[in-house]
Amino acid sequence: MSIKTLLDDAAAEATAGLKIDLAAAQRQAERERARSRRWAGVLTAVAVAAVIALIAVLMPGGVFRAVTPVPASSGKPVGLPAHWFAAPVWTPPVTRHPMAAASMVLSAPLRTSDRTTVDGPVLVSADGTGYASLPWSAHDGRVSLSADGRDVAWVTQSWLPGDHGPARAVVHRIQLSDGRQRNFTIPAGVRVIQLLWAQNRLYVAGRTPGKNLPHTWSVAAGSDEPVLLCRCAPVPLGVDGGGRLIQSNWSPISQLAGVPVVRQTMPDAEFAASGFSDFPPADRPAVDRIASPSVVVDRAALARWGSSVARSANWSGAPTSRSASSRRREPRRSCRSLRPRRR
Amino acid sequence: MQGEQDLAAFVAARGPALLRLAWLLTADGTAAEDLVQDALARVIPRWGSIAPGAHEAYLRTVIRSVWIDTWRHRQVRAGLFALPGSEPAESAVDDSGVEGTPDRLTVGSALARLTPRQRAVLVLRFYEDQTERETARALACSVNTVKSQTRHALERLRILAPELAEAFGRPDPAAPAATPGMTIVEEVPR
Repeated sequence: MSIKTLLDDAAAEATAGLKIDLAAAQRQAERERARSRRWAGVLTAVAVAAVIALIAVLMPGGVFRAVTPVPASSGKPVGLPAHWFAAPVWTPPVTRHPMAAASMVLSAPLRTSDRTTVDGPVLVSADGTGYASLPWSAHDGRVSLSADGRDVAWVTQSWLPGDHGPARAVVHRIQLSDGRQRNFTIPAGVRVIQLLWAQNRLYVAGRTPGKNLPHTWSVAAGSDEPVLLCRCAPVPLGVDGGGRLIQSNWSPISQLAGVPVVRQTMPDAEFAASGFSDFPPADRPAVDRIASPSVVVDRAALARWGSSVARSANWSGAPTSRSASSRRREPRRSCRSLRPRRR
Repeated sequence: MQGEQDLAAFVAARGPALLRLAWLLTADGTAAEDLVQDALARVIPRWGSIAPGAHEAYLRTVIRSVWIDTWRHRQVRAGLFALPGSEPAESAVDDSGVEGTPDRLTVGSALARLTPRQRAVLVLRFYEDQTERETARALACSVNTVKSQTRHALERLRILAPELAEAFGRPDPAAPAATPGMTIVEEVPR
């Protein structure tokens, strides 16, 4: 007798009186099914809650940390720059160490990391890691960087002794990728007010000596010959935080180099600067309170001009170029105003 | 409705066979009824999706699984909640009946004196005709464990039911003779 037969016989004998309660099994199955459905509902609810919580946490800013954006109050400094740039101790000239493109121009004099100064503006490469200086002299100024950051221009103005106005102006331009420098001369006596880049074309605005008449020249890429564009001057020009090209002029022009200009009176903004700010806070046009009416160039014109003006908005009337920082610096208070008054 | 009729007909026809398998695993009549009922409760929701002719094999597999799960669950609970020494280990089953090799022990009572694992190995190997590898997979242990458990179970049955020793095979003359009161050491499954 095999083990299987032995076991089967024993089992048959033992289970002779047993029977299967099918109804009880069906009731048990129904209970199991109900319990599974209940657990499935609970697990689904938990999963949905977890997903919602995860999305809320991963949302930009977080739903629990979101705050209603409040525009900065007008007329007040917006604070420190987002990033400080300090030129290295030895900053090579861009003519010897070209860079593909620059993202900004640091103004001069510039203090380096070892507290010495750099005479002249310093270009910061597009990735923010490379620095290169411009061949600078004491009579240089008005640095202008093209929109794509591949060209830079500035002016050397020699002055006649005795405050009799400028003698001659030389405009320098360098293509940063090869460090090659080109120079051209503006007619004698013209005081260069502004350099503007638009679609790799350089515009030079200035005023003639004596009658102080505005003139604008244009220099094509690769050329050293300035062409008189109009006896007008689109200066001073600026760009507001919204990207609009704005102009404040006593005698607004209707057309500049073929670009139609839409004249529009700007609302009087609470901006305490005399003249435009280089880069005013977003959504706030920089308007000269004295100059009225102001002019806004429409977006189509801006597209044609490109964003070069935003890059080269160092048009300020200051004798030296200004840094293209993204924030305005808080104006310094004189030490005298901090001293207690004597009685 | 048709499915319920099929189920009732199947239980009427094959119920005793299922009960026999359950009884061999549990060595207890009531436990066998409960085991079959639990297995049926698991199978009923998917009764219609089982291929025709495969219901009994499916149900026998479920019975084995339920039994193994229950037995393991009890093992874990005993290990978790029992005080040290309050309950004998599985391998240390009371062997008082071994003394004098009582003839009165039948196969049923002899099975009841085996450990659950030995009983399961015995049923799977000799009643369900599974290979050692299949048995090892079902019990989640190694093939060597199945072999040793089979040897221990048969040895134990020969002692508990000497009149059936012929059916359970001759003891290995090389193996040490089982003495009254000996403790069968069980291999720990990996």
